[in-house]
Amino acid sequence: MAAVSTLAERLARGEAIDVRGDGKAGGGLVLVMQSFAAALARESSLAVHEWPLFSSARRGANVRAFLRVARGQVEAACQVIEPDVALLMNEAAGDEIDFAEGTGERPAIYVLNTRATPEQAAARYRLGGRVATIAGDDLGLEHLGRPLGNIALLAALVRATELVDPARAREALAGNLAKRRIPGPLAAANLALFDAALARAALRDLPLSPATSHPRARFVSYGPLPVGAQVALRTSHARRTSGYGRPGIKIEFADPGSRCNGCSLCVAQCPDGIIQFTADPKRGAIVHGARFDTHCKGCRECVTACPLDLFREVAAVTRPEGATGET
Amino acid sequence: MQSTARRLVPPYGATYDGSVDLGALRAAHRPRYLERTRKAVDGNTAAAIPFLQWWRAAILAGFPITPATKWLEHLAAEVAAGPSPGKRVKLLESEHAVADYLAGVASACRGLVVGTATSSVGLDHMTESIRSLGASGLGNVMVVDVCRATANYPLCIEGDPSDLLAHRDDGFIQVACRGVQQIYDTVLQLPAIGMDPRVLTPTMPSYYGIKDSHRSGVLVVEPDREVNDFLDDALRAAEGASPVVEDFLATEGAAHPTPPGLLDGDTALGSCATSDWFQGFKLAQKQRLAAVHQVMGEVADSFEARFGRPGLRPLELIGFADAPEIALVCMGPDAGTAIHLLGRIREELGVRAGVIAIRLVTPFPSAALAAALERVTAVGVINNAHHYGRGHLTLDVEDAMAGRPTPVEAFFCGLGGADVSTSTWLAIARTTAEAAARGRAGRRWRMVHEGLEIGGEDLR
Repeated sequence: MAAVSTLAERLARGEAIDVRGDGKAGGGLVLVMQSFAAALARESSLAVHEWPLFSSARRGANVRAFLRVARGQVEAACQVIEPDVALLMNEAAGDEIDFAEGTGERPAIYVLNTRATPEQAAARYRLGGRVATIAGDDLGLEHLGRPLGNIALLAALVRATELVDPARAREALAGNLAKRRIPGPLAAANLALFDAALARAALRDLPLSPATSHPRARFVSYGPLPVGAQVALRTSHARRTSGYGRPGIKIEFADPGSRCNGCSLCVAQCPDGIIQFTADPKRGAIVHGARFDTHCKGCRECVTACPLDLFREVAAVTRPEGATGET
Repeated sequence: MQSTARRLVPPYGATYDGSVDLGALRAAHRPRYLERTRKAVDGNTAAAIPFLQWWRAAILAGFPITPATKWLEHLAAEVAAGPSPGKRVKLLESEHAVADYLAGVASACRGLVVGTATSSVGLDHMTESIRSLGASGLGNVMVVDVCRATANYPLCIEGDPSDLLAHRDDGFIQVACRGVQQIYDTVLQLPAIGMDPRVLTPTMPSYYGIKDSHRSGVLVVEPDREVNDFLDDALRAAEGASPVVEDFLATEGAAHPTPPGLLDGDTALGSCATSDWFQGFKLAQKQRLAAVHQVMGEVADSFEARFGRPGLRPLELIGFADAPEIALVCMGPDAGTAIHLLGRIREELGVRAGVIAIRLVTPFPSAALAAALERVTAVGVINNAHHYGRGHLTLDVEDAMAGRPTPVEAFFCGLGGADVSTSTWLAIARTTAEAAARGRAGRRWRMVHEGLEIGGEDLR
């Protein structure tokens, strides 16, 4: 598989290399891109642009980030739609979108934060070309006490692309941690994590096939957008919004004693309109549940609003253990 | 008035000389950059760095709004982190308060440079104050507009210049930038233009939110000494250009009545004038704004001589070496994509295409544009902001080309920060080439996304 030398050769020929990453807001994707960009920019003949795409979404929403590198100058400002390198920072983000979209025409490099092996990840996401995986969340827990996989993903990216010397990437990461005023001991723990991840990232070069092609869906039209359609977009139950949820928690409703007093405060507060109730002419809105699994973002408005504490937040695993492709 | 003797005063009213000891402020400045430095920064940081470097930028103010917040955060963090004698960063209670605060500081001492950064409804919230500021003569005020869709329904926090274009009559010199170097270099040059006695007009550099505010690239930062000498030298050189006029408060029995509400000749703030005078002030304001074209050229020349990079010019012309047949007129970051695609457009469509990126948005460089478009056979104008008709830029381009038969195709794309893809640029170039072949525009306007014409209006 000549994917790696092809990347470097294309850069040398004056072509631009496009990188795209998908993750969840608050997951550290931007730090990955900034550190990789800083490492590339140490080569003064290279111009590097790096930018995130985000909107008015909170922690837990899908986010995307781009990087474009070329010799001399980078003029093109359009989004990366056919990436040479595609990153998946968080598998929950991969449930919402095809992180590999636009790849498969030519060998691409995929870098995933997952416990899966490259073969398992390739089967799950239909990948051909170079596939690198790293159990970044586990490394985060080990070194930082938190399931943060971004530094490990950076290490896997550096190894898979072979565009920058790992030592230079480490220096760039140290610089970015300092820029963010990360305290010394925490910065050192992050750098130790980076070193461990460099050693632990798994790489495989896998064959391309028609099944590993991810052609981009062609834009057709916005469709009719009548006045107020944005409210429908926001609250439409046809759009799964639970993917925007905070990882690791979920909200539950339990009312075994039929205590709900019909006050409807939860109904009024829920930003997604997913509280299920029966209208009782005398007692009000008698709540019996909500569309938690598909639409709850875990904002806790209902937990706060309910005077009888019928809603509660509980720990939840957003991905099945291992995430090996059968789910 | 006691005195009947005529005094001569500069036209910008009271200057409160001595309110701030500029010499002491200058001496107290601790340089941030001692030598030319390459560093990876995003657009907001690039726009903030000059304010750390200028000894004249003693007081900075702001109120956070996405995507402009990092401008304020960067300044606050840098000022808090190191010894910064004479520098204060003020977080105020709203954008309206910020604009009033800027006016107060700027009029208290016209040797200072005072600035803020805002976006969208933040700029809208400043409107009451900045429309006065625009006419005030306070060229030492800079409002950095990090463009974001404004007055929007539904809410969208991404970048399009509808805020900038909604504020064209506020009286500011408005400049569009793309990329960190252009942003930094523009901010460095603007006070030299705005504070020039012939201009005395506040400035509004702008760049698109997210697409440029959050895009990082490598920036060359000039040393503080050069940055400050550049502005000091420009202001010193411009001193002689100040048109001194008669102090009409001191002309008892003169032909003109004493304008009511003028305090000590101060035309800056809080004064009112009747219809006897109002439009005279507006005429003077327009004349000061018109002087920008001359002064900007002088400032750009001296910038190029000192720093060796392109100075701030009203237009960026790309692909104009061989008299292009069609021109694509646009602004902002997406111009870069068009420039990147020029070779491919020429190859695939078999037409010599050129790109014009508008830098000076207000006052619009009509003469320069008309000259650049003299030999083209069709123009495509790319508008990134919602407009009731053919687009803000289209109206200006057509005005510049008044009396010519050259067809002008009007396009909308990139609204609310939507991606302007390669396929969109190719479609725009193809449609413009067709207008050139046909000799007239095909439609009144079209909206294009991902290479598809998704809407438009036919010619009547």
